[in-house]
Amino acid sequence: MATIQLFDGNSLSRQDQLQVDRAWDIDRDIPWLNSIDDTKGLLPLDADALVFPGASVEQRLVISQYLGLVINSTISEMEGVIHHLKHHAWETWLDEFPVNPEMRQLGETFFAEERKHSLAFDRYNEKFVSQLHLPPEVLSRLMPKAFGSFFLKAIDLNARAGGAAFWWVVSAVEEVSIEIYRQMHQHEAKLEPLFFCVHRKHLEDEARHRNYAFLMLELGAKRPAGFIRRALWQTDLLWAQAWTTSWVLAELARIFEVRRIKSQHEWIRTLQSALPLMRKLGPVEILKRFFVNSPYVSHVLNPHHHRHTAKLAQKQRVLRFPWPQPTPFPTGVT
Amino acid sequence: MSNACLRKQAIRGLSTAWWESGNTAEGAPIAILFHGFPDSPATWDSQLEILEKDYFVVRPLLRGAGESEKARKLARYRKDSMLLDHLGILSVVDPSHSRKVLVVGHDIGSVSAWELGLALGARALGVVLVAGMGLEIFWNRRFLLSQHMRSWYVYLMQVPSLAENMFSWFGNDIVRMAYRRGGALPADGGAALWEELQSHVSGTIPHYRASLIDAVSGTPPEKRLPCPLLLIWGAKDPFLSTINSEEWKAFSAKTEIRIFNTGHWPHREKSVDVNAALERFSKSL
Repeated sequence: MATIQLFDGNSLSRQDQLQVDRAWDIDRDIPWLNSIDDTKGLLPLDADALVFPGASVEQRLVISQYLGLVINSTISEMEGVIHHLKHHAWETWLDEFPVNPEMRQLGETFFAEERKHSLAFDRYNEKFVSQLHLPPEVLSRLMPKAFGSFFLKAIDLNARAGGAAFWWVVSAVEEVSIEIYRQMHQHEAKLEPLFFCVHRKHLEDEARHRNYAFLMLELGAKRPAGFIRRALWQTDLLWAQAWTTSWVLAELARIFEVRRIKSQHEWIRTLQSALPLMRKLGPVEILKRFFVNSPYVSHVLNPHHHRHTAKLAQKQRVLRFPWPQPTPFPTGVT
Repeated sequence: MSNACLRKQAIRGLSTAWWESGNTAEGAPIAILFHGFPDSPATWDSQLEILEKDYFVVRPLLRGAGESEKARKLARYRKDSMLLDHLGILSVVDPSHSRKVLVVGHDIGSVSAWELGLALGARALGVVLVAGMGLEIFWNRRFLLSQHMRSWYVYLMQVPSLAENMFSWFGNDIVRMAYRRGGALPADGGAALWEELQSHVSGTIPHYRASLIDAVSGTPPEKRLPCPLLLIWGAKDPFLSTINSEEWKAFSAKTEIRIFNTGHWPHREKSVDVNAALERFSKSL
C-alpha cells in the first residue's frame, strides 16, 4: 500500500505538503447550517437491511439512520483512540527507531486529521439527535464507545509493550471507511446530503493519508527485535482482529438498549419494532451475515475487505484468522 | 574536485597527509572530513561540490593510510593521540585557531570526528556522522547482541598480524565483499577498488585495535557535544545496528537524524539526498 518510501524524505515532505494544502476546514467546508433531511436514509441498505428481513419502509429508513449514526460513532471512537495512543504507539516508536523528520511531520498531520474527523462525525451525530429531537440517550446508550472498553485497554497494553496491534487496527479502519464511502457513492441521491458531505470530506483525507499506517507497519517490521518481540510481532494482527471483533459485536448489541427507552420517541419505537425481525434469522445466521455478507459490519469484521492490510500481512508473514471470503451484498435496495 | 591538492607535513613527529580544496577566502569556515575503513578521502568526492562552495575542505588520510605515515606504537592510534594529530592539522591550516569548523566522519572516521567535535568546543560549527559513532556511544551498545554480531570483524582484527596477512593475501576479495555487503560496490564489480585502497588498508587496521581499547576504557559522562549533530544512517547497514535516538540524548542536545534506504555508504549510494541533507544542515548552523 505504501506508495511512498519510508526513508524518502522528499516524497514524505511532498505528501505532507499535499495534505496540508488540500486539507478542509471543519467549520468552513461542511455546511453545518443546512438542516438534516430526515426523510432520507444515511446508508444504503441491502435487501434484508443487514439482519432485519422483511422490514417495512419506515423501519428500513430508521435502520439506515441508526446504522449511519453507528458508523459515524465507530469511526469517531476509533479515530479518538488513535489520538489517545499517539504517545505509546507512535512517539515511542519514532524515538526508539528514528526516521527522517518528514515522517514525524507527516505523522503530526495524520493525527491532526484524525482528530478533525472524530470531531466532524460527533458533530453530525449531535446535530441529527438535536434536529430530530431525539433523547440524548440515543448517543449515550446506543452508540459504540471505545473509551473505557476492554478493546482500548488491550490495544493500549499491546502498544506499551511495543506491539503493532494498534497500527493493524488503524490500517483496517482506514480501508473500511473508504469502502463504506464507495457503497454510499453509488446511491448519493437517496442519502441524506449533510451526512454524505461529511463522509466525502472524510474520504478526501483518508485517500491521501491512508498509507501512513502502512508506513508505520513497515517501520515496525524493520525494527530490531529479540526472539520474544519477533514472536509477538507475528501475533499482533491476530490480536487486533480478535479485539476489534469482540468490541464491534459487543457494541452492536447496544441496539437492544432501545427497549429501555422506546417510549421516549417515535424514531426509537420504530427501531425497537424492527428487533423481532432478527429472530427470523437466529444467532448463527446473524453472525454469519455479520462476517460474510452484510454491508458495513462485515466490512469491519471480515479482513478480506481490507485488501491492502491483508497484502501487507501476507508480505510480513504475520498470523491471521482464516475468515471466510465475503459474498456480494448489493446495497441501495429501497 | 577542482583545486584539490595533497599536503604533507610532519605532525608530532610523523608524516601526515591531507587533501585541501574549496573556498580559500580568508576566514572561510573549515570542513574536515574523515574517511572510514576500508576507504580513502575519495569517499567524499560527491560531497565536495556542495562543501567547497562555502568551506575550506580538509580531508585527512587516517594514520597509516597512504601518505600518512604508520605509527610503530598502538598508543599513537588511540583516540586522544589521534585528536592531537587532527588538532595539529587544523593548526597548520588555520594557525590563528579562529575559523569555525564543520566536522564530518564516516565509519571509523566518526570516532575521530566525534572527538574533534568535542574538543573544538565553541569553534565547532557542527558534527556530521555518517554510518558511525563516537566510542562512548559504541560502548553504550556493549549489551546489544545484534551490534556485536555485526561487528564480528572488529574482533577478528584484534588478532595480531591476522588481518594484515588476510588483506595481503585476499585484499581484493575482502574489500569487494565489504563494499558488496555495504551496498556500495561499483557497477563494474569494483575492479579498481583494491588498486585505489591497497595502500590505505593494512596501515589503518591498528585503529580498530586502539578503538576497542578506548571503547572498553569507559566514558566520562560529562562529555556532551556542544554543537548541533547530524546523523546520517543507512537503513540496511550490515555493520551497524539500527540507530536509536534515545542512545544519543545523553551525548548531544541538538540531534537531527536522517535515514536513507542504503547500506553502509549512504553518501556514496544516495549522494544527492545526502548532499541535500548536508546542505540544509550546513545552512542551519
